[in-house]
Amino acid sequence: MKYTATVEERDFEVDIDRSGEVVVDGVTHTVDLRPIAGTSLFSLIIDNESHELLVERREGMYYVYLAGHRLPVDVGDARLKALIAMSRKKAGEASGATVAAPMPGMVVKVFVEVGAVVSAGDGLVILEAMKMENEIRSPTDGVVRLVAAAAGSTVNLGDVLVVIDAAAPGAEGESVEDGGGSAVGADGADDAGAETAAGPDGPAGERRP
Amino acid sequence: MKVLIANRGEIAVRIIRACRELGHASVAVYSDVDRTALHVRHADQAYRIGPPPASESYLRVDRILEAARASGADAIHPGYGFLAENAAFAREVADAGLIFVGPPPDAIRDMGDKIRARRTMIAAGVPVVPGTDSESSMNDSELVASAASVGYPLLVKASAGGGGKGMRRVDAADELPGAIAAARREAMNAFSDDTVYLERLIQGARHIEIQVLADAHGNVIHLGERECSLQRRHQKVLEECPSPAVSPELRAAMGAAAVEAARAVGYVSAGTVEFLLDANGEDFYFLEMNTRLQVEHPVTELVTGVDLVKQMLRIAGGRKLRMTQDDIEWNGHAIECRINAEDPFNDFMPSTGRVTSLLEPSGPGVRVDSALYEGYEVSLYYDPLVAKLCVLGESRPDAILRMRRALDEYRIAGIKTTIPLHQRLMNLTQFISAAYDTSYLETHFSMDSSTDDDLHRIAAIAASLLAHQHRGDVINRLAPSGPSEWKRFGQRQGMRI
Repeated sequence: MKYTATVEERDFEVDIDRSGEVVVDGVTHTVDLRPIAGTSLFSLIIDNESHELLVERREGMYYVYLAGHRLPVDVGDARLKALIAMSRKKAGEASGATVAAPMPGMVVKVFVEVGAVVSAGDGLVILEAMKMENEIRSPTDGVVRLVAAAAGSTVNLGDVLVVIDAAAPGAEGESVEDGGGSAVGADGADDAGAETAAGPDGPAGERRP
Repeated sequence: MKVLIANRGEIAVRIIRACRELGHASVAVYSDVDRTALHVRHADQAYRIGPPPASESYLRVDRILEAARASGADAIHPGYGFLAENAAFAREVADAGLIFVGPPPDAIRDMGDKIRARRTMIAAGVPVVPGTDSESSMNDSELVASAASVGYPLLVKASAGGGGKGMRRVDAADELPGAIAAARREAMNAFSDDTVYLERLIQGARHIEIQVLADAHGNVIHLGERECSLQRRHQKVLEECPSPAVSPELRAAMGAAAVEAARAVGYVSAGTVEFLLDANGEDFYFLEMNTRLQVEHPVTELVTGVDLVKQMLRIAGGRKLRMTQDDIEWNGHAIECRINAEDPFNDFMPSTGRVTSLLEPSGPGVRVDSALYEGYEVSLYYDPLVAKLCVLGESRPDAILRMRRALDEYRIAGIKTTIPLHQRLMNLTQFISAAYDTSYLETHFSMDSSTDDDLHRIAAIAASLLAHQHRGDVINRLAPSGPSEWKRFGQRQGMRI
């Protein structure tokens, strides 16, 4: 089985056929990957070099934590992705950029109202958690369609705060997820399940209070 | 002596350890989410004091005093945060016939009100940062009017503040009203006091603080400095002892000023006098005094060999300091990394959740003060600090190499932590050469950086192996039974199902 793994714009051709072996860009390596606990901590020995890594799976991307770096890896598997896309379409997906609470907390201030025109990076809401105020910013240019957050209310992780109709064509829905590393926590906690089969613990990235 | 610890988390564990070593019985208090917290499990006795929000538990003076009465405690140690710098609490503890393990209430009050503290320091001849020094608290328009004489950039600071709460940087006049409002709101939430003042921002300054110890018999000594310049949002990220910017002469001068500051308010117990050290490396200004045990006290303990928490307990028991200033020696170099439940790759957003896997570093020269255990649930109710990793090395380079090693050993899964941030810092030229000031982290540092190809390859292999492993599971889940359209789709696409 051939995969294309893309890490920060660098492509690796990874061929996995025989157990205990991978061929990366034509070079054969012996590999042994063992889970340590749950589904996020792994010991990986590549050609007798020992590594330990945390791996988090979110929206089809793998985030590998290694030596103080977070390396996002996109493992190209076109057929599987098509399958997942079909599954999603069938489930029916909401369109528009949904900004959800990236953590549980209290809404201190709401900057926008329905109909407001916002640019990517504009402050939408101030959420207070762990005694610090955190500004939640718009992931996209657009028009505010819904404001679900109210000052003084408490929200849980993943609760919808604001819904924005993306201004640019094609920027709706998916654009929020593309910004997985941004300050916006709308990382599709709900639909991540469609492509997450990480076992009972789920990926480390999904935290439920 | 029986000591009630009016706190939670790693600091409560730290104090319980000192009690154990001194033969004192310990009493923990806990909110509902902390029922299985380490401090509850380590203490001799434990009392529930309310629901999770701090305002209904760890800040409830009545319930803490009730727990003290019920347990027969002789003394209360407040730790840091919560009620530690609350003069009214210290007074109520004394009124209840209990020992407050900390300074006298008046010293807390005099230093806790930052505006009053500034005036006291000016009178004692300790240099302060230029700012507004009105006798009474100023309203918004008075503050705006006096801003020009303070000069930009400036800081709006809460008079009752600490830890960066209720503090805002202002670069231009048009930002000032909003900053005052935000600072007042935050200060009101955190301290129930929205008095703020303005202080000039000393640019390029380092944050250096001096540890002092004072007994009730008039003896005051200092234990040297801690370097706390690496900060984010005015929160310290990492501390060192000694500071690479402080010579023995400067240490003696700052130490003497700190001792004067402590004497000026009749200080007793362990305390910390914070200074800004000007970019010229000579001039220093009093910032504030923290009338409590500091988060970063372990680096001083490691280098001086003095156990500050035990000293606090001895002093609270009325004993004289055993050591004089001449007895204090500084050996080696210590670094502390604050491990916060925050995501350094996502703007340091707080990270809550269950710790699914934990392996703490150990071995020579390593100290871990932690509240974590496997299964521990990080909640949103309290401070994000969950652990402190400290190392002691023979020299600063040794300490940095040891910290790199210790961070590499540290594994915490289930929550995001600031470990990757510290791993980066330990490899950063500016950190290694100690060429940074208090603004460095926010203005010159980013977690984004290109990495070498070897790391990329390792990540690619790991992710591909996992993708390969999970691929079968996904296909099975999408096609749970019988020849479905998924299966037909898969077959069309040549999948092995």
